[in-house]
Amino acid sequence: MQISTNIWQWISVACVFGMWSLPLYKDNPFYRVCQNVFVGSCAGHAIGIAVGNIVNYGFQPLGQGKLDLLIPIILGLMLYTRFFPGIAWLSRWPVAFLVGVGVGQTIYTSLRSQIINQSIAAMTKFPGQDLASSLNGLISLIGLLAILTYFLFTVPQSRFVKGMSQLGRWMMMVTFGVGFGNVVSGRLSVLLGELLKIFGDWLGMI
Amino acid sequence: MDLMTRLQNVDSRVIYVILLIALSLPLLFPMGIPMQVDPMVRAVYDIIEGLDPETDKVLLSIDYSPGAGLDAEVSPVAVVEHLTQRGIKWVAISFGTPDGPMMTNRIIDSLEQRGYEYGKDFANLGYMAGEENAIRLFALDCLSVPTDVRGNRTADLPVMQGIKNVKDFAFVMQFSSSGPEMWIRQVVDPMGVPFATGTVTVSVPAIIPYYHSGQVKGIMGGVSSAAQYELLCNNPGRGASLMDAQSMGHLIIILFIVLGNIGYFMTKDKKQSAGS
Repeated sequence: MQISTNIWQWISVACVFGMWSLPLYKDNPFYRVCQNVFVGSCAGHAIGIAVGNIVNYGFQPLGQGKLDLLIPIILGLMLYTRFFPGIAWLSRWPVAFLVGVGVGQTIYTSLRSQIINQSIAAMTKFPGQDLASSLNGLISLIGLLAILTYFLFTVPQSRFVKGMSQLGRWMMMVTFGVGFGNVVSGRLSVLLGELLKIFGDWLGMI
Repeated sequence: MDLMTRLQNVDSRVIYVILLIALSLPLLFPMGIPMQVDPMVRAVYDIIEGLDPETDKVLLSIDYSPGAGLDAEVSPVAVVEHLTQRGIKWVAISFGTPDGPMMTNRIIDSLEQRGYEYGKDFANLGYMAGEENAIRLFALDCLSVPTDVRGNRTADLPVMQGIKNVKDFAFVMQFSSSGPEMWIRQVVDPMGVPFATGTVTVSVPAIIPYYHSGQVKGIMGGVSSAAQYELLCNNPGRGASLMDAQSMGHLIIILFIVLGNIGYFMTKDKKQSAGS
């Protein structure tokens, strides 16, 4: 065992213990100090990066003669006109521009990548190359149809539709279960990272 | 209060402490629990094995922040280690979070200590604001990032020679704590670039449909995938060392779920018989 002499390791581990003190003990000043350090450092880092981006991608190239950058810079400044009631309406223009670009960029690509291509993949899975993949494809196809049926509210609830809807509900429960299992596994990994910091980087036991 | 009722009312702090002990012991005393390699992880390995170190370059999009923890960090470390072993040059950039370049630097630091050269073997182009729009801009013109994180001109970096757009990379891999939808929408489908993703365990189920549709060629999800990848590379690292503890944690959680349910059904039966 070789305890670290690096002050930052000590601060880091102290913050870990501080955060753990909430679930293991109760709300306390040590926890709140650690929480505020975290929030403050995150905000500081984000502001630093944001200012750096404006300088690197905006003002520096502008100084080198890329005058077309004046348009986004002016649009960006127009966002702040909302603080001045007389000209607050000007802030709607950059917002409209942002919404327009965002929608234009994603509406077609979402349709193609997430609806058409996904639907094609769902339709062509069955039959598969071998028995196992065929079975997998069949379960996937039935599951898809069952879950879609669950959300059909505009057709008469016949016995078949009700049965498919019930199956869809079970399929979704299984999916949520898988999701929950992955959440647990992911959170354990985060905890393991902290333990590795304590036993490895700080105490030198690993 | 009988045992069954107590099982349902265990103080959560007791569970936390048991979990801490159960995770700590295998870290200190590894047991070597065997594991199998997932086809989604093997697919990533096979793609990188198939690259030519002389001509092929890889683009890594590092889009996770420190908050995602070890679950997000071990996969890129394992993949970069593989790229380094094979002598494949790579370039990192971040679109999802401003913390990305910092996370890339953590990986780069260890490589530089081992004698690999920044700019020639790899580079960190930093964070590009704009998310989906930025991905599209970079995909069409990789030199739209004027400088890297060290202030070097992107166009002058040896590793960037011959790179004009994202199609000049033989393989693109994104590491994030969410999904790869933006890359699929703006790069994979319109430009047909081979693409894989590394993510946190939580996000894997949402990405699997893209793997089955072939839009994502491989998926690495969290510590377990990294451990499997290290196994494939014959280079056990951080991921492999954590698998015993991870498995023990799963066992403890399963045990508590089973005990809690036994308690629930036993007391439910008692309540029903008392009521009738």
